[in-house]
Amino acid sequence: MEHWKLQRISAILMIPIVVLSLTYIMNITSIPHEQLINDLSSIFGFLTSVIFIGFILFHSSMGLEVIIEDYIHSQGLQNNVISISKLLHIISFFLTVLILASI
Amino acid sequence: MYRLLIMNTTNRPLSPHLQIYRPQLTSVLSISHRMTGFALSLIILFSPIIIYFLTYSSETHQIMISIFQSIFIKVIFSFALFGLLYHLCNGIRHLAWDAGYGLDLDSSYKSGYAVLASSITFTLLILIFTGAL
Repeated sequence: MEHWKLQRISAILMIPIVVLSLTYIMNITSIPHEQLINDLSSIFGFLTSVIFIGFILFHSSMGLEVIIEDYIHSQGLQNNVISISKLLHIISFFLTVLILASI
Repeated sequence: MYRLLIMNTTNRPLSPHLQIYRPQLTSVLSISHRMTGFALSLIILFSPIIIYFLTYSSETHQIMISIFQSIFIKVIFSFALFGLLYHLCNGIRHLAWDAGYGLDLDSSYKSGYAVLASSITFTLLILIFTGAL
């Protein structure tokens, strides 16, 4: 699918993901360590976190790509910076999965 | 003569030329969408580190919580929350535009003010209800 459509679809997905994530994150200081571990190590918690962060990183990567295309004028540098940005997003995703899976 | 007919594909100026453009509500909101998006990208890229220390042990968890409760981080977090909610509200505005709604100048200004008002309101409401303010 083309970049433009994928970015809009990921944008629509961001609406429920941001709202649901915020209801949890805004209470993070009052959640005891044990409960946090229980929440994130449950199948539901693990899958929701991985899927949410995966979609957020996907949306982030697509958005950064457009920004880089618009502001880095040299074609060679532009391609390199986009590749680095994508690589960082992939690394961030796998680190998240690794950390959540090892809880 | 022939050279003039070949499309210049390598050295064309790229939009948008922010330096020579007079700031207006619509253009400021537009560049703010990109700036908040960029900042939010940096935050989500660093999220594994935050998750790591929050879950590694109860000691590191305690350290993270005390960092979150410091005034400095609370202020930064409040701005980040506003950035996120602004990007969310303005993103919905962009999606409406992409679907063909509200494209005329008058609607653009109205929805622009609506985005500003709603993102500020949501930020304050969330901060008040979670006891941060």
